[in-house]
Amino acid sequence: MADIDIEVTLRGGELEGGSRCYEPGSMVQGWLRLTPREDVKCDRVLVRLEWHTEGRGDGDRDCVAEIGLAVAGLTADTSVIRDFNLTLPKDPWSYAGHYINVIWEVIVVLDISFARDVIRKEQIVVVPQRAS
Amino acid sequence: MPRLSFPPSGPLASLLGGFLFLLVSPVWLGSDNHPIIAVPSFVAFAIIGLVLIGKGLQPAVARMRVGAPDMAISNTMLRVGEEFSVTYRQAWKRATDVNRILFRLVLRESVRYSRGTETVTETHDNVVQRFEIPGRHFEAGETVNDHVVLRIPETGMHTFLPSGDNRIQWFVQLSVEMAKWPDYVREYEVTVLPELAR
Repeated sequence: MADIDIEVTLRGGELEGGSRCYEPGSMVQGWLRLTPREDVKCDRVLVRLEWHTEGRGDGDRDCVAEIGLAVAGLTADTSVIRDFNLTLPKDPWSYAGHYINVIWEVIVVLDISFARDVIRKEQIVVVPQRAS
Repeated sequence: MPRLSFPPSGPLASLLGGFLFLLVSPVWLGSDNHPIIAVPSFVAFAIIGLVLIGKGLQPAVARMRVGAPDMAISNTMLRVGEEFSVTYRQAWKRATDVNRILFRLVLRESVRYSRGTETVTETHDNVVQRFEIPGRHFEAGETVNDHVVLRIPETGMHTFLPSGDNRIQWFVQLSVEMAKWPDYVREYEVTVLPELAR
């Protein structure tokens, strides 16, 4: 696997209990910094917005948004920074139940030639803001 | 107000399963198995069959005393946090002592998963609200009319049906608990939209 640091910083939403919470239908904004320790030939960088279920049942998942970021070659010890914006759908909402959990993630995938993809996942919470 | 209907598949599945177990049970006696295996297997299959048939007949037995409920809901497409009302009307065919009539608002999680070669389905009911009509004696021909107000909790989840493997659904359950008779139980699904009632 390529030796590369992926730093994902999310913006927007609200920070609650260490998790970034977004309103359904809102925009997830962020940026990522790629810092390779060696020269890497990266075919493409994808940022995905996905939900999946965890718990007792067989898993369901869906990628609701995906964007490709322009990154050609990555040179050792040279950081590349890219912004991204992804739009959340109205549902499903994040959920923690008895048998079922619905988990949302922003996933960064580095598609590298002749090597295993490098993946970084950042969990987010998607719930509407309820009256307190 | 829209009328609520219920799926009648539960009792039918129990009856079919029960008859299947009963039909298969004598096979054990006719097989070449040792009596130590064959007789208990026959008895076990026959008991399971009878229990399932009894469970399948329960609604029909209860229906001997009580007529089908007529239920209507103020809104079948609800939002999270929304209050809704259920009107309930039911007639008694015979004089009956009723312990209580219970309404429950239930959030049900249903999951399906593979275990070896079999597929397992499990459900978990979370009763989020109850409303009880006190029991009393009903005469034949008497009708009960009532009105129940329920509310999807503001912290609740919307209906979620991505596949048969993971389902989150909402139900209004009605349970008429009769003295010395099986309960008359019906449940009605309501759809909760991914929206907040503001």
